[in-house]
Amino acid sequence: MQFMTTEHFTLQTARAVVNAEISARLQLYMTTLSSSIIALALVAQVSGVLGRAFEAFALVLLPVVYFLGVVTLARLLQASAEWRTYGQGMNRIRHWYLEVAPEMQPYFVLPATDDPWASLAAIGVGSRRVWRGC
Amino acid sequence: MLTTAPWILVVVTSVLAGVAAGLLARLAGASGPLVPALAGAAGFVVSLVVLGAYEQRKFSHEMETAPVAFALTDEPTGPDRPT
Repeated sequence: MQFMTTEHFTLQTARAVVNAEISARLQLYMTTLSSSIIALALVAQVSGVLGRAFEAFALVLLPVVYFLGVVTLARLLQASAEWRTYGQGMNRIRHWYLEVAPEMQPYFVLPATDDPWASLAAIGVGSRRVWRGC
Repeated sequence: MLTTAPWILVVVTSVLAGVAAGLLARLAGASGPLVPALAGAAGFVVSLVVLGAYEQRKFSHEMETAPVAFALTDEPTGPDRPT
């Protein structure tokens, strides 16, 4: 039992780390975006709104920030997949708990199946019926 | 799905694409606000569709290929199980 609870805890911690990474990356991107908009506003003050310098600056800056957004999205999708995998792992362990003590099932509110849709349903995405059916 | 972090990023990033497209249209010599506005809207929609499709395809692929050891049907029966 102890090694399973240890594994459960490890997965929980890993999931928290992924959560933190997702938040940090989003925050970094939003900070970059905000800074870029402020920079554009400063250039607009100097060159006049929609002046040539502003347009040139914007056309250099915006694609760079766009690229940063795309790569952030790609990494976010990888991190989300990692996050779901850890959730699946915890669900498997919860399944094992129920194999050991089936009479405890009414006390579990989260899924005991590693079906990926059930894992998502547990956080409110997808069908609630799937969640209740676990 | 639209409230997930990747989708928020897709929408915010697509706004940038729209702004860049509008600016490009203006630099290309479009006069008046209509053409740059239309170009901006087109840039936004194209970026939204491309990035959204990429996100959706990757998500669907991962959901389909995820190994499942204990599927829903193998669950032990209990009071919460729907009949």
